[in-house]
Amino acid sequence: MTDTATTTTNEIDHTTTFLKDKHINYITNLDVKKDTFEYWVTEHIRMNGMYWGLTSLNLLGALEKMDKEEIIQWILSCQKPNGGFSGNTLHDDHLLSTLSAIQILVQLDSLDRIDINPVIEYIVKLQQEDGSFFGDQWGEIDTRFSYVAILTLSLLGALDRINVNKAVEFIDRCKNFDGGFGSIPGAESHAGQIFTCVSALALVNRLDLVDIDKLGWWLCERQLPNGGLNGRPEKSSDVCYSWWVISSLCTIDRLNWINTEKLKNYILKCQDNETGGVADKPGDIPDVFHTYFGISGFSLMGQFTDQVETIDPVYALPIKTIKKLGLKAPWNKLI
Amino acid sequence: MKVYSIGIFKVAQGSKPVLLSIVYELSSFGFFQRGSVKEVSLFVSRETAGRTNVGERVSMEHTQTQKVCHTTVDAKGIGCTVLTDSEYPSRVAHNLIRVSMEEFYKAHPEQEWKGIQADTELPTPQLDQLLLKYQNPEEADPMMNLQKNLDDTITIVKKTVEQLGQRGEKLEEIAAKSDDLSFQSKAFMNNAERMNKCCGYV
Amino acid sequence: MSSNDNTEPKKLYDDLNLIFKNNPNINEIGFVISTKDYDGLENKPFVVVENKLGFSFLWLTKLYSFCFHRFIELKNDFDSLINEFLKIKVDDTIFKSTSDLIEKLIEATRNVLSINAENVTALNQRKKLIILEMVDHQTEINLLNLIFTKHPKSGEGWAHRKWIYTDYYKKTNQYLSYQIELDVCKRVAEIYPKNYYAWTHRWWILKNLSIELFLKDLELMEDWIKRNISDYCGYHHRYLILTTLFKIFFNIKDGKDPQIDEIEFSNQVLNENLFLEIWSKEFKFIEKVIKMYPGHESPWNYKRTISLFWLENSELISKSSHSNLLLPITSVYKECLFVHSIIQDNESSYYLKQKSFAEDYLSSIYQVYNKDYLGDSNFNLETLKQNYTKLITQLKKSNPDKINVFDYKINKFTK
Repeated sequence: MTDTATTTTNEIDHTTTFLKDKHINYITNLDVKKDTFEYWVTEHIRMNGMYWGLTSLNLLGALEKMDKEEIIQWILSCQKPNGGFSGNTLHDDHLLSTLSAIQILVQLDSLDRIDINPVIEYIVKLQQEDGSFFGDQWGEIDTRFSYVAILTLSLLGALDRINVNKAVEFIDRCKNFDGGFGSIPGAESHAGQIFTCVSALALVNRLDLVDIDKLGWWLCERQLPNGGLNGRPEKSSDVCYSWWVISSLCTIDRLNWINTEKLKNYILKCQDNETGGVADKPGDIPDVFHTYFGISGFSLMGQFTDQVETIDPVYALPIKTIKKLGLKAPWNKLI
Repeated sequence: MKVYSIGIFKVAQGSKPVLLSIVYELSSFGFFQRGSVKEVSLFVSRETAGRTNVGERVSMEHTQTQKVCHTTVDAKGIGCTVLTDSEYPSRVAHNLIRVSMEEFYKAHPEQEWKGIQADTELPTPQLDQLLLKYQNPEEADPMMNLQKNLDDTITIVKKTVEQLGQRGEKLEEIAAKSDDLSFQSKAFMNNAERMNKCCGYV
Repeated sequence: MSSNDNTEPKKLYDDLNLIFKNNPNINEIGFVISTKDYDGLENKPFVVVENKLGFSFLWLTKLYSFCFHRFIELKNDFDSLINEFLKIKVDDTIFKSTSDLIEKLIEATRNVLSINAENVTALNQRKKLIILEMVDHQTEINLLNLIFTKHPKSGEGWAHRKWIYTDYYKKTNQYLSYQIELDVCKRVAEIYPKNYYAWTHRWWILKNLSIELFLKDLELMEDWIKRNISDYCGYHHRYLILTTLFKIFFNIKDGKDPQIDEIEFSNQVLNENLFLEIWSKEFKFIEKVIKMYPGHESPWNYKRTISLFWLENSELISKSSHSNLLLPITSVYKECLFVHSIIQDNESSYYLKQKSFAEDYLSSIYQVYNKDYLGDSNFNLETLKQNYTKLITQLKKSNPDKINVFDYKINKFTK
């Protein structure tokens, strides 16, 4: 917890240096240890895990370290008859893993390995009368699913297949008085939900519904004295908010409302000097989830540009991928 | 708004504080966590008391877990520690320290503990009562001057746990050497954060 | 490492089933590093103390991977059975002959979820069992209560709970006990403060109910806030109740929440004086919290939210028949006085932080005043602009990280 200028066992000071190679090692070694508790309790969301790991490697220019064909085969094994994808081979389909699957395939330039029509149908059927989206056949509703549905269809070029106006109406109902958004109408503003709502609105060109000044202020209040960000008032800082909050600020063009230098230093401290990877807080054990968020946080803030490529805050994909797909991104000056 | 423990130690220069009496309120923790929480509470209390100067009023916060250890050591070498969450007002915590020490002295005259060299449990039921009463700071401090620095001599030194160690010792290093912590509790301290991780999946 | 490491996973699994069978009143789950501290001289895979079940970490991974694979085997058998059932449309006696399979599936899913509440596939399987009436809704609610003792933040667990509640209503046209739901939300919020799911669930349940119950919850939550003053969830909940009462009282149907729009105003339940009392009490309450616990962001955020809500609705209130009674609840001027009293109180603990929150709050209040509707003769716009600029300049100094925000605010306000 205390900062030390140099450690005795390692020459590199992780509090000032971005540990690119160590992170690459960390990610590529993830699948090797298959018998940890962590491995087992997350195997149902392996598709998300794969997306986080693969996208991180992509941003670090090390995508070739992944076995492309093996991944594609595995993704194919996760597609269900109804067109959706599951989090892992033995699991049920869900909208969240469907998005991750598509995001991985586009990065691997392999969208042509699947028939996208069943996927489109799967998503379209999940939209409800009030514009919201079920996460799967069991009917959970959450603005995360609105984002995921809209994003996936944007990537598949089929956004016109859903009722966009209704989708927007539902998201608007989840807007709170403080300018933030919650998971369902009435739910408290939360940085994660804010990210999904703002990004969804951006994708359908409805950022006019966001009270940018109010929201920008709520978001910049997330920065704590230690430089890190939290997700709601009086919660402790966590690296994952380097994505949820920063991405939202980028999309509404208010990134300079926080101190990005301080945040950079916080994320650096969350790196693990021995194993590589990034943890939620300094000194904690890293995981692929926070590793992705730490690296993409640097990317969004335009830091370590010689080592980290740029990611788009709304698509959550490297800019080179967005360009290749020919997608529009009016919020992003680099596209 | 919780008070987790009140501890009384015998504090002497150059040696580790000796435990005289301690009470806990752990109902807000899961049943199986309480053992380790007790050990960690004792560890933190002892280490803080041992590093507090005579007459000083210290409130030391561990920002990551949002817990605070309040301590005072008097001229007779009796130290009192109160562990709370970060909502609990320091001033009331130090009030609690003051009345706890008074109760301890009433229940146990100096001859009783003067020669004690090893951890012991001098039963002080008044401490249990205080622990219960002070769960609600408003009731315990009816004057409601919870946050007034009325008396200039009563300054509460606020520290963060980074400052606990001398010469930059990290908390984990101190913990590793401590006899208060079983292997389980040391692992618990490292795991405690993980178990309460933000992002759902663990 | 203990020699017990060689325990067959199957034995662990069978032992777990036996434990649940022999201890039907288990009310808490936990993971322990060693069971030694609770029961005996050596570390064992499980321990049961006072109806509480502890799993030892040493065997947990092995146990869980076995539970999961066993679950998948049983799921596949069961799913093929359902497919047969749906294809051939035989009557459901087909299931009676496979009661053993069903029993095992119920056990397997319970075991998986006790360890990992996020396993959606196991939760989905249980939904199928409920639909086929092989597990009843109340039993499932009880299981979730147990699971929440170890996994209070399981999003999937909470979604499953909503599904059970909704499905019960679909089947029976009645609701499961809302009181149990409210109690569980409260209990879970105590174990794990700032629990987004528990509080979202609380409102999701509450908004189906009545004005009387809104009022009751408001009262109940007051004590909760006093004991959890930094937990914004509690304040947000009060915001929801208060603004809902506001909408009902002024007959505002904005389409944001159809269930709320359906609630009819009743003068017997929510007369003018009661409405006045609720809102003015709330303002006093939050001011007291702010003074008693200085330097906390959450009460200040809440104060900002309700003050702005009230002030931005001033026009509506002033045009209503209740304006004389209600308008005095607060005004820009009154809020300025409050801020002044805070800033004057330089003996307060955490004074600098408190002052900063107060100044920021004041800047939000000034911004409201900059709208078309000016109801207060205490200010003229020019003085206000000057005060605002001075204030923001001060805030810039004490919050150097936010320098860009404050420059932006000054530019915008002084245009």
